[in-house]
Amino acid sequence: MDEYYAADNSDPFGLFGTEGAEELLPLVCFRLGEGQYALDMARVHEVLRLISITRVPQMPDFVLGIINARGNIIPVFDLRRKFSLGGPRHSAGASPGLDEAIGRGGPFGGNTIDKKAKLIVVDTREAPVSFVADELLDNVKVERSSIAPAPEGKLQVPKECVAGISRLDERVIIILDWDKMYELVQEEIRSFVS
Amino acid sequence: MTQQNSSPAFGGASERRRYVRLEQQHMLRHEKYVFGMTGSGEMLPRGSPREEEGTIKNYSLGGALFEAKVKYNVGDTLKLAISIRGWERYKNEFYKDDKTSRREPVIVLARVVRVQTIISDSVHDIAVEFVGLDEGDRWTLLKHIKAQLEKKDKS
Repeated sequence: MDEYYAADNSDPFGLFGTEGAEELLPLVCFRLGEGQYALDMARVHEVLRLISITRVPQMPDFVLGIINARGNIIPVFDLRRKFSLGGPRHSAGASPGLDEAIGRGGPFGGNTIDKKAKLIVVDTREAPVSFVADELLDNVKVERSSIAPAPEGKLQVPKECVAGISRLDERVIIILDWDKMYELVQEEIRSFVS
Repeated sequence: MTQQNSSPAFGGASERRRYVRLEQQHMLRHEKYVFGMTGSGEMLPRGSPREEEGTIKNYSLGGALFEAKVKYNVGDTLKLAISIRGWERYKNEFYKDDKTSRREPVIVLARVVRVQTIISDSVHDIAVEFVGLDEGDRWTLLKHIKAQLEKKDKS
């Protein structure tokens, strides 16, 4: 298991179990394409509704641009595009709220993301960055010991980006290793620019 | 370019329909925004190495016209920090740990739509369209502009 998900003893609010109980990992679950994914809640800075995205020229197409969130300038990535994750398409104009938020002919071309889309802002070493989730699902807590390793060859995202798999009732949630994903994002931007 | 002619900052026909322009001068800091390598080697959006200062000549909710010493190109993305005295009094939000609750300039992402050189190599009029304004700041600015116009009408 990734070291990042190793159990830690810090639980300042006492929410995630008592002494001797199973360690629980709080997750933010979201949809990307047709898959359900999750990130450790500790890494998620905030979730924003889709707001106006300003395109930055000469960037790979998965770099949608930047947003201004309360004066903080944050880049926005389209991980669905970056990792070629499929999913249902939505016709232009089907989501007027979204069209308004991103502008017609904007970074999404108004045809790939519906109005359920959210921006998930994640903390990184240097500054917060964000990515578009097709839908924010819920927050769950899973037992760390129940998290299974990523299976071989059955996932759409690269195996190295998967911290583990969690099964909750009928759901299969792919827990992402944000640091690894972000490393791949950064690698592609660097090679695109150079 | 038609985009330039209809710019909100230049009082085109579309501006009269959409936004009221306020003829007020304010200081601003401006910098071009691009993706660049940070100290830790990450590629992140960042401003120019040096922020420049300028003066807003007029502005609306949709854009602004300011005077700058540096010349930008049409299409450049800029981050503007506009110091509008008293604008923050119209804020609705309060974030205890957020800098936006303090007195700070309005931060706006803007796209250059027109550049006019007044004095070669030293004074340029830059017209920009606001493309990234925080929703809370937009409302605050709207209320501020409305209040300023009412004040002007009374005087």
